[in-house]
Amino acid sequence: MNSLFQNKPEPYDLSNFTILLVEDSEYMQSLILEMLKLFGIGDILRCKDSQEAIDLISITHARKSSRHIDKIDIVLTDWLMPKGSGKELVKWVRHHKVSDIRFLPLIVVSGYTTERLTHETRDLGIHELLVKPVSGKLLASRICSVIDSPRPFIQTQNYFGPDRRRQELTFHGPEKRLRNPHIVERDM
Amino acid sequence: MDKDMNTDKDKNSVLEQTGKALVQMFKPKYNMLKNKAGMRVNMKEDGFIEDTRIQAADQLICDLCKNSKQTLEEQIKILTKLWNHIQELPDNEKRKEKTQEIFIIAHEIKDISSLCDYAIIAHFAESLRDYITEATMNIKNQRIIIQAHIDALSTILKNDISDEAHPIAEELKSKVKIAINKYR
Repeated sequence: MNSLFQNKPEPYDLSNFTILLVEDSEYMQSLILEMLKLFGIGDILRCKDSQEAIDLISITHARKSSRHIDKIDIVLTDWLMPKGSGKELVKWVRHHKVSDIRFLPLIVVSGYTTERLTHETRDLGIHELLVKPVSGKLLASRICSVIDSPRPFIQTQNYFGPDRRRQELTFHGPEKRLRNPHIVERDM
Repeated sequence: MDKDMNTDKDKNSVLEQTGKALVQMFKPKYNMLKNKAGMRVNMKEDGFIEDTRIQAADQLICDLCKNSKQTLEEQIKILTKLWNHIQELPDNEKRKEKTQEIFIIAHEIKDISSLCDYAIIAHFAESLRDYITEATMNIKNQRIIIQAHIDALSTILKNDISDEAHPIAEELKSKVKIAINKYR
């Protein structure tokens, strides 16, 4: 209750959080699972590929009216999975009709370190990219980033996802915008 | 623009034109995740995960890595056995199917070795994983490349080499590179 009256940074209590972990490698899955448990995450759902993840998200959403089923707060997914990649999952989430699913925070974990992957994941609408090998600090920083800074979501003709501009830059050229973007406030 | 956007509970807006593009921005009214993590919804200060928890997670990686050599040995054994089996398969389609398993094992070896600082093993596992995606199993030359990767991985583990700058590692890297360039 102290946090109601104080502004100093406090450690997060993640015991009410539900994270969906999508990782095909049993070794990496059990490692990340244990790390999340050490962070105090209350509920961790696991699966091995994007199709299983899609099924789990759908079931969880359909049954969340039950007080025993909490909604998924963050999805942590591997990128390269032979039986259904992270890319398929990200696309499915960001194109979903239901806003609770479409706005899900997505963290991609990948062993690839190419610039191409960074651009691709960003343009598909992920929140954070965590490059393997994982460490406690890196994993914690990506989770905290999602909690600390809920970026506005942008819908354009060919993009839906978190605002890709991480910083405000001053533009010195001529103003070409006719109007500002339409802003909708929502709980996130 | 996605027509389904307008069916959502929070889509009470009309899209507007910004320059040439239609842009709609969904701004968070409250930070519900922060609230769920025990903070006020409008609290501007960032929270954090306690250092002790992060240290415990890092310790977990260290503990896991103590047995990583044994895990890698097992994985490379499985890889070798699988590769021998694939070469005996008469049917090209079945070989292709089984090749996917090589990809998975190479990917896993890469993850474990990079996590546990076996940089040179990670190098060859990544190289094999990436190569396997483009390999056609019925071409003899490409078989040489896959075999070269497996031999390199076995040699490194046998000699307990973790440093990329080790002379044997350098030699193996050069040999595999030559094989890839010559037989690709």
